[in-house]
Amino acid sequence: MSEELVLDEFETDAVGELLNVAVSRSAVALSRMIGQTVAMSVPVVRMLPRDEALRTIEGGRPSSLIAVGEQFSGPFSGSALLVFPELRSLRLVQAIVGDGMSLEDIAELAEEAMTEVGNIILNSCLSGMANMLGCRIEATLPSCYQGTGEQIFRRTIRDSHDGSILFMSIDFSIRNRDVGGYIVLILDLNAINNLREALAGYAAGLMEPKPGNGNANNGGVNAAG
Amino acid sequence: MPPGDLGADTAFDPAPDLPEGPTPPSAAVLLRCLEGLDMGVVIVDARAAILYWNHWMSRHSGVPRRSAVGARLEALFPSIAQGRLAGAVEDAIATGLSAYISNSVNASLFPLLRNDGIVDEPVAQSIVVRPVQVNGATGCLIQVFDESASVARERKLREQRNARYHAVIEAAQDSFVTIDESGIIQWINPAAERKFGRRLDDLLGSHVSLLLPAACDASAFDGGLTEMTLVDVAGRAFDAEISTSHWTSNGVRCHTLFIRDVTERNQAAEELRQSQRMQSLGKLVGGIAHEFNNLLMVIRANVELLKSDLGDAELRDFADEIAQAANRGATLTNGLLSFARKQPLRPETLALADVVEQTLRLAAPTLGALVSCKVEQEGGTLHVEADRTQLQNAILNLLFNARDAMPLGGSIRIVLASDEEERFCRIRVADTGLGMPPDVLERACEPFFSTKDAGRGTGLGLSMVMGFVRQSGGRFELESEPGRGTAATAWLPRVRAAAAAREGGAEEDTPPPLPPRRILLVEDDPQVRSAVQAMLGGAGHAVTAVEDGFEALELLDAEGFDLLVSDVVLPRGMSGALLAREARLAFPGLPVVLMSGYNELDPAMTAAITESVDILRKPFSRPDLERVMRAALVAR
Ligand SMILES: Nc1ncnc2c1ncn2[C@@H]1O[C@H](COP(=O)(O)OP(=O)(O)OP(=O)(O)O)[C@@H](O)[C@H]1O
Ligand SMILES: [Mg+2]
Repeated sequence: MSEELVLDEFETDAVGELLNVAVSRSAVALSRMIGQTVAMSVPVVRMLPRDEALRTIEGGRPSSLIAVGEQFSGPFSGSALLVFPELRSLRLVQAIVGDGMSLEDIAELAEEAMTEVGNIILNSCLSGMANMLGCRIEATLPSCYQGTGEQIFRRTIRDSHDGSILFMSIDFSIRNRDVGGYIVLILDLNAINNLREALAGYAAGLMEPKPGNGNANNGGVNAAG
Repeated sequence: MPPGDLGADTAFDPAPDLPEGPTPPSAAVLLRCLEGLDMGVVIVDARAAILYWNHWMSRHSGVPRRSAVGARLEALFPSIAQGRLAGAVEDAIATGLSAYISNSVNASLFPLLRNDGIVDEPVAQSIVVRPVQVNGATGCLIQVFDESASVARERKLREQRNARYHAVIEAAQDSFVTIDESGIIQWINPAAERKFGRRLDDLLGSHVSLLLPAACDASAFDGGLTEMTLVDVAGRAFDAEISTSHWTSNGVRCHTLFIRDVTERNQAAEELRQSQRMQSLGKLVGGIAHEFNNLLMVIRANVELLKSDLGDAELRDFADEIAQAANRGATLTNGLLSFARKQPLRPETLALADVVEQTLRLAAPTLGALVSCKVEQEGGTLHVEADRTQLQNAILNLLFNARDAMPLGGSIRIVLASDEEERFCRIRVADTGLGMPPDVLERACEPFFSTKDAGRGTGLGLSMVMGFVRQSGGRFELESEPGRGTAATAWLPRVRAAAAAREGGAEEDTPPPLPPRRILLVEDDPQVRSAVQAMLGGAGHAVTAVEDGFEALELLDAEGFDLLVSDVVLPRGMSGALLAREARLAFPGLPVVLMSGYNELDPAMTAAITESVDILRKPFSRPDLERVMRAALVAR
């Protein structure tokens, strides 16, 4: 059982590649939105137990974090979180709205801006997954959370969660400013299994999208391949 | 379009709660409600063509429903193809994702106008995009919220908040700089812009070390008050005192540095320290001079006794040499005392022109042939209230400085005048000499400051003049320019003619010797005591000498005396002043002469001495003693 909850090295690498493609797609979206070049990468993807994920996010001490979360469902369900230390999230927003504003004024629109940035990034990750799995993933509107990692996890991960946590760091570079955060995908059991299957197919070069429950309007999706 | 289709079977968007009850509102009612909504509602089908466009959208976009329906969004509004909206619609249809698009970070949303009949301002909007089942396929629901009111309200609140804050901050004279934890400048106030000559816009995002080179990061300001040297816009280094306040906003720890220029304050403190040092130096010098005066007193008195007993002319010449040496010593201690502003002054009313005249006569030989000197007097005869010897001394010092400044010769011009309110007399000594550069001018009056060779100048001249003038209640000023000469001006309290008239001529007559008197001498220093005793005895008086005030009072009580001569400083807690007062209480009208080594008479003591006490300055000669005794006895 526990073995099944873990992706092996190859699978993890494959997810990493996939998400890098997805994230660079959102970089394009962000660049277009703010009229500046945005570069994004997902250097490391790991499967982590909840506690370790929490420790990594908090970076050793409980500090204030900002998270944007979405829940998704379908053949592939769970929730997705984009997490930044609050200070860095302000940097990110400052990078987005430009230097002309003081941190104080930025703080006022930080939540809105973060929500939106999270929305863009998480959506592209999810649609990347959906494309690969050849299914639809329906996601809620993003919500913004603020607090320590523990508080955020408690509000976004069910206590009874028995699935896995796909954990990755994400690096941004906007206006010569580097901002680092984390993407956390909390996958339900079914999702892991579906993901492994899809990855197996992916590995076998089966790029045929599986019949999902929607019309497979998957235009440029196979760019991932 | 059947309303049941809206939002149906999206997993996180359950069908809207329709009112429960037997009859749900009809499709027509629901549609009317959609039309009446105060927000935009757009529904697009799986091909992203518009299916529904509510009245609010028509009103604010200017695109009527009939033009909208069937068209694709990007075709209607090419500008939104650039923004996020188009992508979000695509994601919703293709994958089932929802999107939130806010006005604060997105520029190209729907081109909507307020259209409220007053102003045509753009609508600040935020948009929610969700997948929705339409006609059996996934389409998308777009909700457009009008945020104009809240945006305006927020802006107004922010302005209000900032107004109060800025009123304080912008009026401040100190520089304020706000930095974040890593030392990045977030904000500076106008005073800081002026002080450092940098604009806020240029500094935003820069590191604080740009303004404060010594500051690596914010941790430099964790220790409360710090001082450092900074450089202002003019390149001038200034002492900055920096206090810090920390605050946290949205998890970001910020530091506001309050930077105060304390250069002037530090200078004042330095000056105070300097003057306190001079004061204690003065005390020390005064103490030494006092001891010296006692010694000189002894030497002088004994030389005089010696001289009167010596028949041999050659030996008398030797004695004269000793007396002269003692006199020079007395002049020296006097100099020291006036620096310490401790020499006992004997102010009298003096005709200024006369004193100047006499002084010039004294100085003439030393001024030399190359230096000419002339005196001008403006207005009538001027009288001042000052100590004669000291005034002469001061003028001499100024004359010698002028001479030294004119090694190749030149002229000295002395002008005597009154100020306009006739409260002061002005004595101005101007030369045509070398003058002083500013740094010398600044320090010229400091004691021991001299540019002259060792042995030629002690640097006490001007400080003595300054000390004397100030002690006499006047003031002293120097003006000088290199190459153009120097003018020294002293103001001394002026005495009106009426008061001056009382000070008659008959000054210089040699009076007949006093008839023998019974004198009680009080002096604790045995040598001085015997010297003065010998002096008085030599003049034919009957002298009884004691060591302290208590003995003196007892004796006064037991025997009759014509005159009490006492030192000011006496042991056992009874000073000469106190003794004088006690003696006067017991024997009203008893003449008293106090001998003083220096100005031990502090104001409290002076108040204790009744006016009719005469002060005799040590070291004194027999004629001095005679003169003061006569004054004391005659006053009775
Ligand atoms: N009339 C003047 N012209 C130019 N420099 C002057 C003049 N008077 C004073 N100074 C400058 O100020 C210094 C201090 O003067 P001050 O009279 O106090 O001391 P001094 O003349 O050097 O020594 P002292 O007077 O004790 O023999 C002088 O050394 C000289 O440099
Ligand atoms: Mg001099």
